Amino acid sequence: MFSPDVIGMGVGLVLTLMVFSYLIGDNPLYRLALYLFVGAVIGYSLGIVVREVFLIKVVGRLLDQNLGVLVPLVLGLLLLSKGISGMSRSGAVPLAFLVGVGTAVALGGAVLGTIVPQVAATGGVLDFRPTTGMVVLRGLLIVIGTVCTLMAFNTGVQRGEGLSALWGSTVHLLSRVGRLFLICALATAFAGAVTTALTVFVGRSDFIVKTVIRLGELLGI
Amino acid sequence: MVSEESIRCPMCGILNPADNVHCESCGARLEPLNAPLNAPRSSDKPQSDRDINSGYSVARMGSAEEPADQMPLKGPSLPGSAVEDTSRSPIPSAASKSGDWLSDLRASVPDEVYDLDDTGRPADVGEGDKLPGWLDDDISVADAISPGPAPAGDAVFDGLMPGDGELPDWLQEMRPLDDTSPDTDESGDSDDVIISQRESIFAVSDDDSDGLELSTEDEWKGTEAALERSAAAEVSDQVKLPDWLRQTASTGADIERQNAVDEVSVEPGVHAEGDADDLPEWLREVTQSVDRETGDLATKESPVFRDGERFSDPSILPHEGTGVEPDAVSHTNAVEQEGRDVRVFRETGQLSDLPDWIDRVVPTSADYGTKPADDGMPESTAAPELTNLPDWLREIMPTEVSEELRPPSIQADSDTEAAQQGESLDWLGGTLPAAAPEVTDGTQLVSDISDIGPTGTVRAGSTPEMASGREPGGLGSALEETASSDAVARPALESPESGEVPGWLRDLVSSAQSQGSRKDEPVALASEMQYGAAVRSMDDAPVFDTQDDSGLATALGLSQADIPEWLEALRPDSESLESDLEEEPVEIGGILDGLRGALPTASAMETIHTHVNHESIETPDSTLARAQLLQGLLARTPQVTRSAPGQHRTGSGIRIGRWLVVLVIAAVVFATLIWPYLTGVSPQLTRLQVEMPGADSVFGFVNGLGPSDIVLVAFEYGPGEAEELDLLATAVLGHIVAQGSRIRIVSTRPEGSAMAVNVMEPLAPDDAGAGWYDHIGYRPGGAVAISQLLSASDIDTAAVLVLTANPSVLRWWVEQSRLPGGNIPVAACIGAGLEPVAGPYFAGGAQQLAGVVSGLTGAAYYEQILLGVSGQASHRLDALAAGHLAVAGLIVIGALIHGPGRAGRKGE
Repeated sequence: MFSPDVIGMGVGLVLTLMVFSYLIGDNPLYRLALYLFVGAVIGYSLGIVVREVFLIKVVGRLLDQNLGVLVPLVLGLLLLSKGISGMSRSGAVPLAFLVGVGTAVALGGAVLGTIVPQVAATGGVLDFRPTTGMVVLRGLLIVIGTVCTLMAFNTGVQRGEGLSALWGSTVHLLSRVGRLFLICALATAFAGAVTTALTVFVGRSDFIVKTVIRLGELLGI
Repeated sequence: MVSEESIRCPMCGILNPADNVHCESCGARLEPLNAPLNAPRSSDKPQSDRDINSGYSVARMGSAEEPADQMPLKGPSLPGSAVEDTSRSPIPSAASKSGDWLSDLRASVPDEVYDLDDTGRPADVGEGDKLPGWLDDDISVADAISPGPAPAGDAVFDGLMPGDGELPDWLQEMRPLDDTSPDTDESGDSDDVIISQRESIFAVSDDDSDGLELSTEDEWKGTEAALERSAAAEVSDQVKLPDWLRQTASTGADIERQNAVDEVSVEPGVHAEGDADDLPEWLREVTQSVDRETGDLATKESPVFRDGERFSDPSILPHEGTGVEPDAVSHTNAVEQEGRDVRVFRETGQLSDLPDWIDRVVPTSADYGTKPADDGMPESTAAPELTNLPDWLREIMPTEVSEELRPPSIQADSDTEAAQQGESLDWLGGTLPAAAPEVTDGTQLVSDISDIGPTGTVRAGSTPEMASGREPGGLGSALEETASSDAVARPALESPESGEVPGWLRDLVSSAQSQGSRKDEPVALASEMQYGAAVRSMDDAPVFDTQDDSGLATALGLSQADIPEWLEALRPDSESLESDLEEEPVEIGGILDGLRGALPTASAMETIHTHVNHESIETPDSTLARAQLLQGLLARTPQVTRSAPGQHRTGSGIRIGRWLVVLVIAAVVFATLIWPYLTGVSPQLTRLQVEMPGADSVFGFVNGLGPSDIVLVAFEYGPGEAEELDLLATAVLGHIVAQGSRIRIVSTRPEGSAMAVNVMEPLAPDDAGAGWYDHIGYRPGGAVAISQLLSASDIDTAAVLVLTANPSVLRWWVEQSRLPGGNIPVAACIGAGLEPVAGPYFAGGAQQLAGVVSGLTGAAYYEQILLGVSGQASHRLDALAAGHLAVAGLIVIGALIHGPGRAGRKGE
């Protein structure tokens, strides 16, 4: 009668209600559910790492006589020494390696995968070859939005005299327009966040409804 | 002619009856307090004028026949032996009208004078009323004072005179030039001379230090007789003088009589009384003023008329032999001070108060033949026509001076005139003290000049008038000018003839001429004096002209130094300096007397002012309260407060509102979810009729996959985003599975594998085995892992599908897939909140994403429109739409409730 699925649905229902109990405030049930979820995720992740990384990729390759894996193994062990007093300086080497490699990859990806394509794309939208004016208008909107948004973060321009005053006034005006684009983008992000949260709530509510109905059916209610 | 029954007033010159004690005109005492007017006269041989004029000379000679026990003569006033102590000078009683006064005088004389021994030295004489034997005899004064018996007759003093070899040099000079002076038959003149001589003698006898001591009445009588004889000789020499000059001499005698009390040496002078009728009024005033001022005259000099100009400052006159003209500045100032008088005098040739006789003597501008200068400077200082001078004035003028001044009488060249003036002043220059002290006061210098005598100790009061060059009419005014230091008096330039020049003055002239090198000293002294007078007379401080110095430096080949800017900034400008000088007080003492702005740099330099804040330092109570509060906050130990669970208290209103929001949203959602279960009909709150380009692109992208293509699916989300992304993953992956493509699952998150398993299991085809999809699993390293995964040479992935709600992970996948070596199309199934991030990679011209499907709406759109099935996403979409409606309704209600109140608070 009570299959593992039903038990699992029941446990999930209880934990969901425990999390919803936060609506009445911070309570032990909420904290218990929270600790349970965190512990489960960390435990599951550790199991995955041990299995997927240490056992399969290190031990398995060592067993396969692949001694090259010793380098990441040693670096990994030195990284663990960061938590040991007196040996924390030895953990700087793998940390520096990780930071350096990660920064280089991220920087290269940012320049070649985001900045250059986005700048090229922004300039490309000003191509007036498209027949429809809506595309041109969209391209202008993208250019103006991008430039003005960048101007909104400019704080180094000061008002002076002559051309400097004209340039300062122009930057000040564009920055105000860029702030409008930023407000629109933040509003969209906030709407997406609300939608995501509401989607999760709807999903949990649907789970609760289905579980209750399932349990009612099981119980004959 | 003066009768013997009348007495001429020594003050005003009016004749009075002989028995009068006081003058009927001015009330002055007619008879001296120490000399009876009716003293017996002797018709002895008249002495020389030198003896007459210098009473001390008579006493100094002594008598050769004087017994050893007689009172010796005290030492004469030798040159250089100045007598300073005059306090013990006995003043004869006023009642000494007859011989009683001599007893009084005798009683007042100290006893020491009688201390004579047998050899003529002082010895004890006993009581004061006991006269020595020699006084008991009726001997003449010559007998009393001469070492030997006095010869009878007129040559009584000749016999008294010792031999030339016995007399010292200074006494040799006192020898009469003409021992055979003619007798005079003018008793009146003789009386005047006697009176003046007597006064001189008494003046000497008053001094007990160096003068002659006459202690007995007989001795006095003898002296009187000698004086009468000498007066006769004096009269014979002065018979040629006019009356007015004798009057002047008389006034001079009066002055000397007043000053003789304080003086040791008596200067020889002309003692003659003129007729009162001949005395002009102005001279009477001068005489009276002189009597009043007495000793003050010693330190003042009368203005001197030199070549038609009146010089009140001796220093401005050129000095003989030096050729040095007085400093132009001081000379100009000195002349400017009296420029008015000088101009008037030079233009008119006479002063208003000058008598006719002096008016004739003083040359006018016509005599000079030059026009008067406007600046007061004498353009021509040539000597006046000596032919206009009276004989008497020519006679008393020094021979060399008269010789130099005669031809030519008018000289246009001022330089030549100055040189001649300097030469003419040679005799006067020699009268300056040989070792002149440093003086800065012109009056003092004048006093020093006037004090010159044979011994260098003679006071001004004893200076002969012919040497002082006192101009009768301007004497009083000149004294005032001298006292005010606006103009310094200059001594007379005229010199009497050598025969009439006193011996002491002649000695000085000779000594000065012998010390030619010392002539510069008086000049320098005079320059200093005139500088002091000029500076004192200036209203402004001296202005230093640096241009001349710079020109001189340039001429000498000196280069001008660069003055730094800070030093230039300190240079005072002329306007400020002048204004500062006007504000500067005038120095009233010391060597800076009369200077204004003596230290101008003090005003130019910027002084440091110490500003003292006098403001009240009272602190308001509010400030103190704030300070105490701040101090308390800083002193308090920081306490970290952690809110325990359940202790976070909020307002009841907020909690009620929160519960209302939760209840509304939950009710709407639950109602929408339950509604199909209850009614069996979907509420149909949503209509998916709007195109979604991203979803359409993903749909086309998946439709382009073939059965042999491998699609790398990256599960980059966890349990928290599973409610949203599971629906998307299910929809897209179902489409891929339907296309028959190979799915390879990878994740950079450890929990991603679990999510993949949870999604893939329901999609497994019916005939799929355990490994119908490839599970790469977890790839640690983030962007590095993605880069390594995509850059692997053995990868054969046709497309990448990224399932994530994390913007960074999405960017990693997009960026690394566009790197050189990889050009793998990437599609993304993202959360609703990540749509703004993914938009630029898809909606823009970059086209880095092949398609984007986001949120529950995208999943429902993908299921219902593209796949044509009603999936789980479509079921939840109504609940989501209802929840959106509830949220929108709550926002509107909340705005309606709290909006006006907030606006009102902002207005306040």
